[in-house]
Amino acid sequence: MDPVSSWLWDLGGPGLDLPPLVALVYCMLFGAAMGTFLLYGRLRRRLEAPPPARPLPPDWRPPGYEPPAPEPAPPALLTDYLDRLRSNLNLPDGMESDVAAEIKDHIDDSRTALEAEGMEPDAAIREALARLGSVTDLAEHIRRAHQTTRRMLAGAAGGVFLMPGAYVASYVVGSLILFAASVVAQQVFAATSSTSYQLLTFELTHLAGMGALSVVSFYTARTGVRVSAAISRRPPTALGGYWALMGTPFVAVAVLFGIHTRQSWPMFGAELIVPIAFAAGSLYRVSRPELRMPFMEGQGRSLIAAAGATVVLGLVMGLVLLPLGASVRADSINSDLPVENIDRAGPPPAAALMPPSPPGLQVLDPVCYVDYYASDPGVIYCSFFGTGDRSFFIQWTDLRLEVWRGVMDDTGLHGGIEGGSHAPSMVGPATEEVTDADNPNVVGTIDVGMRRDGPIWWVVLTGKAPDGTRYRLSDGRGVKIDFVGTGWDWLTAPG
Amino acid sequence: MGSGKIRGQLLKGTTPLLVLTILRNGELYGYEIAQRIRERSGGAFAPSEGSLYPALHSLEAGGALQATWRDSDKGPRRRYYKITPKGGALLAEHEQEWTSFATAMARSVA
Repeated sequence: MDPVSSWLWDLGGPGLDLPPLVALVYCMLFGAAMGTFLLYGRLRRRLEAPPPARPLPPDWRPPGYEPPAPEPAPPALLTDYLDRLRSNLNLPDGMESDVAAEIKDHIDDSRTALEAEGMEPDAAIREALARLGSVTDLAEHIRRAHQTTRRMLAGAAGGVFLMPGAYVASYVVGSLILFAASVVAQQVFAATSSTSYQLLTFELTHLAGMGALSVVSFYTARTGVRVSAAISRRPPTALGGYWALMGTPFVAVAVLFGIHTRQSWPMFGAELIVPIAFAAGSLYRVSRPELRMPFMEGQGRSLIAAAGATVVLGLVMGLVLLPLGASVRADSINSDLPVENIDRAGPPPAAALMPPSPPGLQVLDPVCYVDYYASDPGVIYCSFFGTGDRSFFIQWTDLRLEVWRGVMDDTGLHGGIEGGSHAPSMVGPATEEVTDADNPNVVGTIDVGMRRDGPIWWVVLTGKAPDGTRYRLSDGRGVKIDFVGTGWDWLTAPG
Repeated sequence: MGSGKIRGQLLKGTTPLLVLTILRNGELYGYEIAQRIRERSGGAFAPSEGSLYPALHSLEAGGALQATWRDSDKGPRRRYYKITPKGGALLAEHEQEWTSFATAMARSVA
């Protein structure tokens, strides 16, 4: 599938089949953004840090030195006071303007009264400002005056309500960028080379997608903290810890039970990064509240209601995801059958274990296919087609499909079915299924379960000849079953 | 103390009561409220101007006061505060507390 025609299903994010190039570009874009963000933070810290002190002669002056500017004139003092008041308030824009205008009015009134008492204008301004006290204390106390319990609830609610929006927004914007990037990339590939755009393996593609999700998680947590800080009138640094504490387990559960994809240890590790990124986004250098949200005014009743609905919806979705995630059937060994197989006839070598079919018998190679559905994991469906002569199987009894642990041979395993052989270390099949010989076509369904260590299997048809010996009736086929499930499936699977 | 001013520690926590009492008689803006408190107490109560606005905003956030911008008698727009029914109830509660406190104190130091 070319990237242009497949861009739409990228909107669903990891868990679906991301085209490799798209996922790669997505990961690179977000990685670049993340790296820029971190580098910017370090650079700014370095620039803001005072230069190292070194001893200088007392009369030393830097080139172009000018004596320090005199204390600002009174009007500048007033402007400076109001600017510092606004910058310390950390309230939404409308409220900041209101408070600054109110304090300015107070200073004007106070100054007018002092001047009427005979004070000089400049001294009157200084006195009026002095009566208000420290500007940082005033800003802090006014901000704290708005820290009501309802605002606290509305802050938490607003943050929760905003989080899905931040997630969707970052994913949609990212996908639109990727769409443009994929169009350009396709044109470049078409013009410069006949190479396929398949740059990554399927697993690496999903890892890239998970990396992108981690960045989205970081940004989402950050937005949630900043919004809740603005609504609750509290500093983000005071709320980040709570967000990390409350949100990280929720994100971890959502990721472990909600993302259904091809699993591996690297993939599982990548999934764990998503909640860690959420915690980091809540805690790492988040100092300014999000002050430009239009719905932050008022008492926050609608926010609390909307967030309550969001939380209920999230819980319902979680309850739905939880049982869906628990899709593993751990027992892959069918122990009900009697132990009478070719592997029990004696120790290796393989030639002795698996003698060729008796002369005169013809069995075509089996056709096996596998299915990965979550409701039916680790199931191998097999069809063995006989010669068409219905009497072929009549002389055989106890036909069995045996599944051995497999290895890839020179032909490899491609597309799930091809070549392969049983693992030399194996002395018995992992499971087996009694088949029906009424029809020249022998069909079986074998459940090997979902095991972390069992991606490759080897399926062979065996049967008992009239002489009582069990023979291998087909050459056998390799089957590769990818572990497709949730992170929790992977963690709890045997193997 | 000698000039009739009351020690700051004693005034702590009384600003909301003083503000609500002043506003019981009508709408006022911040500077006017400070002036009225000073006038009515004969200069004994002079809440710090820096603590007046946090108190006003706290009462507003709690629903005891309602603030609106409108032109003042002197011309420029001012932020006027008005007591709400909730503020009236709060004032009654504060007055009750203060009366009990003052009575007990008077008995104790008599």
